[in-house]
Amino acid sequence: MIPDDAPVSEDMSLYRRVHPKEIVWNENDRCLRPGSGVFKDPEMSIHLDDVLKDEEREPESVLDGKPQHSLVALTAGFVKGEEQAVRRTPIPEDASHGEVCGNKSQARRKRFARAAEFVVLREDALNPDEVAKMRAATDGGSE
Amino acid sequence: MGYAVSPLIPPVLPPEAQPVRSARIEVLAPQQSALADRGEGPAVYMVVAPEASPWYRAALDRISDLTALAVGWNGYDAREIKADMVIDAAAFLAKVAFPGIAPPSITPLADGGVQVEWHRGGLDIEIAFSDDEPGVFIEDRQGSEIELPLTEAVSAIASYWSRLQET
Repeated sequence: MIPDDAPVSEDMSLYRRVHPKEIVWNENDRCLRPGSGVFKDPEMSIHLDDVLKDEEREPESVLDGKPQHSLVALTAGFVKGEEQAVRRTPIPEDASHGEVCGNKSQARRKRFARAAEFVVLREDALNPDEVAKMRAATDGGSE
Repeated sequence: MGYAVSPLIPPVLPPEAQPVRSARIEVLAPQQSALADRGEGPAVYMVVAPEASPWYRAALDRISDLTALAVGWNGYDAREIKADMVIDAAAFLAKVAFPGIAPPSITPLADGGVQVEWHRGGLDIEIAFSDDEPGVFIEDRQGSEIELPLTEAVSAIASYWSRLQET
């Protein structure tokens, strides 16, 4: 069992659930991204990879019981570079729960959104409008 | 053309998960008079729209749908989406949904707000209708970032009009 005060390594993955309505097509980058609003909370819930591994859980297990949500990952090093603190705050139903704490300006949130990588992307649950934009762009058609 | 927003009781949800006040947006006949603004109670809310883009009606549906999201919708502790925020976002879209402009993305915010976004033409424009942190945030990938009050949202879109056109 990993103690609550154990250090968080720079390369550790931090996972966060994303609701399908929070995922948007970015025409500039020609990819789907979580919206910046996903990263707004000054005490943003995440799930720590080392605890998941310690419990022999896959990252996807964070989505158990949430069949429509997708999952994104940031590294601890990235969020620390954005003047955030990573805290281990286990809750009864999830020992991997933690928080990324600190002020998150709009510019910072955008950087979070760009840095986040999808671990699980449930395209079948996405907003149809965003899927249509993606298909128009990737199929070479017009919107 | 006018559009109406009316209160709507959502389908059965757990008591703790029911939105405080839900909203549905409907298209009115063009000859009907339109009011602006929002309020409490069973009144029908209307906004005045220009000759709207083809995506406008669908956008209103998407915004209305957000009011069905229950507490905790983001997988954590998100609040229900506030009908007032929905109405404000719909009123904003009515002012900028001119033919030619590309459809925005519409996302819920965990604080109960709504965000309208465009990510095209080298611009990332985010307009947050939120009690906690309302505002307009524009990043021009040519190198500038601007933050504006919500009252300047329409003029901001107008100033970037040519770069937000559908291709």
